[in-house]
Amino acid sequence: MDWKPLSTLLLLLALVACGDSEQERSSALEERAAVLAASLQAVNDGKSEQYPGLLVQLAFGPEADLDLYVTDPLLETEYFANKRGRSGGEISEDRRCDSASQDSQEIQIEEVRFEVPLSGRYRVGVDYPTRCDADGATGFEERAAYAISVLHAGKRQNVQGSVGYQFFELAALDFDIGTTDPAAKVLFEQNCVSCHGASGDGKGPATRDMDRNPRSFITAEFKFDTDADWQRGTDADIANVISQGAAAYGGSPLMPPWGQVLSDEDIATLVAYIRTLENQQ
Amino acid sequence: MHTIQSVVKPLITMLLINGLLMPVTAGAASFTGKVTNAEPGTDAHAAGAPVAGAMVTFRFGSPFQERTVFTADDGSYQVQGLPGDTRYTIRVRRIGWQDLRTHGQSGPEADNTSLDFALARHTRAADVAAQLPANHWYALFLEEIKDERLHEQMIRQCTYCHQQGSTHTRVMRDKEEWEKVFSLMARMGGTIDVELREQLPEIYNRAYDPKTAVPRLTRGWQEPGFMPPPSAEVRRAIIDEYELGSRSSMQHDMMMHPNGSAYSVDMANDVLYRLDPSVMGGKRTAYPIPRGSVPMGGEKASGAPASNSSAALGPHSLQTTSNGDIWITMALGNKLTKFDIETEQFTNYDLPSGIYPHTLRVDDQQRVWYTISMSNHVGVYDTKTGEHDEIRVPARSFGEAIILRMLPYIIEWGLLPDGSEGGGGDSLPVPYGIDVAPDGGIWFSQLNANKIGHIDPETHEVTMIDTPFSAPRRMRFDSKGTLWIPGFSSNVIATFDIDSGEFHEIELPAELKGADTPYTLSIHPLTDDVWICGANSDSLIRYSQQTESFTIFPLPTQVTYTRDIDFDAQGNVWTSNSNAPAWQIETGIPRLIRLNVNGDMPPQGAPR
Repeated sequence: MDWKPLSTLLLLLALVACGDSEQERSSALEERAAVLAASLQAVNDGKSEQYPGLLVQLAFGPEADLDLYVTDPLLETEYFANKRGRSGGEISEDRRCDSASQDSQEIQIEEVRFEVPLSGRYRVGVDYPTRCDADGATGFEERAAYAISVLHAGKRQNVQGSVGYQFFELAALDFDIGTTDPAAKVLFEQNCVSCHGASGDGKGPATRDMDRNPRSFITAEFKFDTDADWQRGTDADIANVISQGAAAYGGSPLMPPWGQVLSDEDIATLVAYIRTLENQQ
Repeated sequence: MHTIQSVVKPLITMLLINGLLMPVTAGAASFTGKVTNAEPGTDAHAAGAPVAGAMVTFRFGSPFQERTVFTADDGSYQVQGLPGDTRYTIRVRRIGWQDLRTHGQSGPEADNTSLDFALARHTRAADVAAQLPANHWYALFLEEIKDERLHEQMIRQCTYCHQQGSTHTRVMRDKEEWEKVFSLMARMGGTIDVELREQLPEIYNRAYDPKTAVPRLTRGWQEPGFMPPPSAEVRRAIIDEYELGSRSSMQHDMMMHPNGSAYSVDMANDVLYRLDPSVMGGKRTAYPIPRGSVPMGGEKASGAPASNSSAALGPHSLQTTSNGDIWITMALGNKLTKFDIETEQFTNYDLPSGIYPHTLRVDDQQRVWYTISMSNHVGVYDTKTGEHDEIRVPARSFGEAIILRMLPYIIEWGLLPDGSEGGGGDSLPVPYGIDVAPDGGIWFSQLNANKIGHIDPETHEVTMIDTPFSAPRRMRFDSKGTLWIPGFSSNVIATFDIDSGEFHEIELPAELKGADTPYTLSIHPLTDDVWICGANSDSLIRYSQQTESFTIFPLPTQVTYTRDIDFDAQGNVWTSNSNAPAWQIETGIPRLIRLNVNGDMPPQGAPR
């Protein structure tokens, strides 16, 4: 008879019975997360808040190896095993148990940088794959605290929490970028709303007599690969259609060329704004 | 009072439905031309010489459809049934030559546009090696694993979500980083034991080192005999790929419905898709499946859901009953779900006690039979009476039987094995494929236990049989009542005679041998040919029972993980590309794929 699985099970059951009280652990984790958040802030103090891109940081203590996962608007995740995504996001060196002395209280920081971030939704996940505190001296074996900081357009967003051992917190934080540029909204309202609608649903007031609706930016099913890079609906493709008109790429002449009306900068601003409308119904 | 429109529109609709008037007229546009070697050519590939076996792909629409044809011996190609007055993105691809990407414009309908292409040879062997399907690279990797048991475990446990040997898996990492990868994969279900984990980092980094791998993979690449073109028979085929879902999608299984549409389940986003191929470019409809109170990650959440997924239910396998309803297993949500195609409503049925409903089939009495992978059951739901039963199938030992009974509590209390340690690779038996024999008997496989089993559909008596090969996966009966079984990790397909109890194994042909992973096989309803997923070789593979020979149909997109196969009424072969994560797929978005073997697609690309 194979007793190994059974004995393993009994051992595991015995371990479960030896836990600390839930409440004590919870408050200790909250305190630890607050310390990490303060330490992260101290590290960031004095550094420029004018980083032109998007910076996502995860801070954790030497008692655990946590991993930062950032899923970008292209739905690709930058993390230790996928270091650079198609969106340009790039993760820093993986911080592990041996990256810092457990005796020190030095915090570990992993970060993902997007030099030119795509507009849209980002998801930050936190994984806790490895215990570093082998003898359990810190009391953070089952859950580990973390702090997250997001820097974009001179503003910071901070979150703190904890994650269970061998558990992946899929969405510790979700955020959108590119939705708050008032100039972009004005530009869109002045030039695009009549056909594409205020929400970008492709049902603007001018479409009543059209035999088909203009592109919906909500479903974001962009049609054209204008630069034959085998990728359809990239920022460059959308910019080219705005600039040259859809007819230049085999589309409807009802989408006229705006290259003589809008500057390249305006068009780039519109592309960023259009990206923010995806899935915003 | 009726307007002319109100009378004519329904009439046209009726004619369309009855196939009397095709939705796109027979005068659809076409392209013809020739693919040749570009200047200045090489000694073996002279400038202007024809390039045979090149894949010429025309992409149009949004989401796109791509139609691919092959060039003949004289380099000529012809593609028909494309929409007129349309701008195309065109790619011409042949291993050994640089991809050519350009645009083209079709003329009015019924017009033919002539377009020739000149392909430039690659000048670096590394670029040629990068064009090879993953199985070529994986073969170098597998030859480094000397222990037969570990060799088998590697294929079975590490190649079932994504290809091995593709660009994304050929990354050099230090030992610690590989350990973290293994730990993460273990929590996603890909457990391997400690001995293998210790060996793998060095093997990965050694086998995929370009300095040694590239010369081996590209030996003789400048000669004409390197990667010869497919046979003339294969080059008749037309391949249509329909982009479906998003960059976070996993189109796990697909089926052809009697209504002519393909249905596919996006396991990572809880969506049922319909693709109507009778509409030019394919009409897609997404049916988000209501999640109810099921949390993200599922009822029995694992420790590591995919980072870009939003799945709570995890739709996995789907089949139809005779009334047209579609039945779906919700692997994460632990439900059996009915989709009424008329009302477009979903109805959920909780499993009595089993965990992880997996693959389903429907018998003649309209009972839905399905494997339940984690808890080692086979379930049966009678769609006529509503009776829902689970049959516990045999474990391999008393200890395993105890563990399986305790499994709900083990999961509830978070006591699943630690991903940072080895998991044994075969810790649960995993009931997997299932099919209904012509005599009504239910047959299923136990993937990790190397067994198949028979269930008497009335008494529920279970009989188990050892397979002489490893990892029996998704199996099917042919019209003569022979059971065909793919050996996922053993590079074979096998027959099983349910009367004599004899197995007969047939080795798969994909070179380099042993590195392909036949996930599923399916039997062609018109020919009894066996169609097999070349999941690690970007291909579909046909085995002709008549000639006892294989034919490999290469597919155009790199990282095409073929996971499921079905057939439409015209005999076309359909599959899904469901590599997970999708970002590893070339272009990053899954596709449904139709293979028209004889190239006799009607002009407008619609079913006849």
